[in-house]
Amino acid sequence: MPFAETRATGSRRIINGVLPVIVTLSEAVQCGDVLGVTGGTWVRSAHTTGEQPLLVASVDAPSGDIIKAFPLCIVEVTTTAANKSTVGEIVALSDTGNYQAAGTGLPDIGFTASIGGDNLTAVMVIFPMATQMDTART
Amino acid sequence: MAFVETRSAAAARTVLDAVGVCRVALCATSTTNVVYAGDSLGIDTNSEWDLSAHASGEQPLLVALESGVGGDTISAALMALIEVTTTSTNVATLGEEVALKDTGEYQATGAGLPDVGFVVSVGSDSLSAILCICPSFPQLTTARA
Repeated sequence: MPFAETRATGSRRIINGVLPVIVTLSEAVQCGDVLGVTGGTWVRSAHTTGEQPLLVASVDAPSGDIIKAFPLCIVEVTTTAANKSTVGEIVALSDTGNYQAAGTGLPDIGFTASIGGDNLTAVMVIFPMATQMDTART
Repeated sequence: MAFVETRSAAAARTVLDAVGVCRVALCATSTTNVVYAGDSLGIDTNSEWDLSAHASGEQPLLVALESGVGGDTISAALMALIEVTTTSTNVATLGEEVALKDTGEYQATGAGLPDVGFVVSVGSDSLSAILCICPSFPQLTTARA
């Protein structure tokens, strides 16, 4: 089966992040959630509201909290053995905010750097804004 | 009005953080050219580092971390968080994509202008914004065939 993480409280861990930014949330998020902007506020990037993914939340937090977020980070996620990731595969964001294998219409946000020896975790390099910068100088 | 920063010595930018730092020598043959901290740099026709601008066609690659003039060697980075100055009529919008104007200012996206980053914060007085700038990424477009 293709890669799909198990997104639950405590299921992700930020291993490293660069260029931290302080953001105010208008929706509850979990550590490792990819954030976008809607109505001038930061929320979890999801298809139904159409926010493009830009930053990665560093912690679990309720709506209204001010947290640190990263444009580029290394995240460890939890999988099942049946939905384990593959080293080197492209990681996309599901319509509900989970990391999963690349799919039609889903934004690419990074790739898998390593897999746990028990096939129940994976470490990903996540850089959500990269694919949206698609125009070079003409 | 659309976002345009104010780029000048007086309205100096602040580099807040950076990764992928290196040292680059600015084009020695254009000693009157001024690079400000936060400017996007490209390679000119002399194969030297210069302000990325349309007239000379340099694709933006790095972010200057300090100011300099032609012939100086300065620090530059692959990615940086920079704070820029705006006017209240040209304020940035949280989350909007940032492009590079033909004269080196950061502004809202526009036809023919290179994408270089995103707005990650806007000052409460609407006179500043924090940008995440990573100018080389739009040019990395080809996967293995």
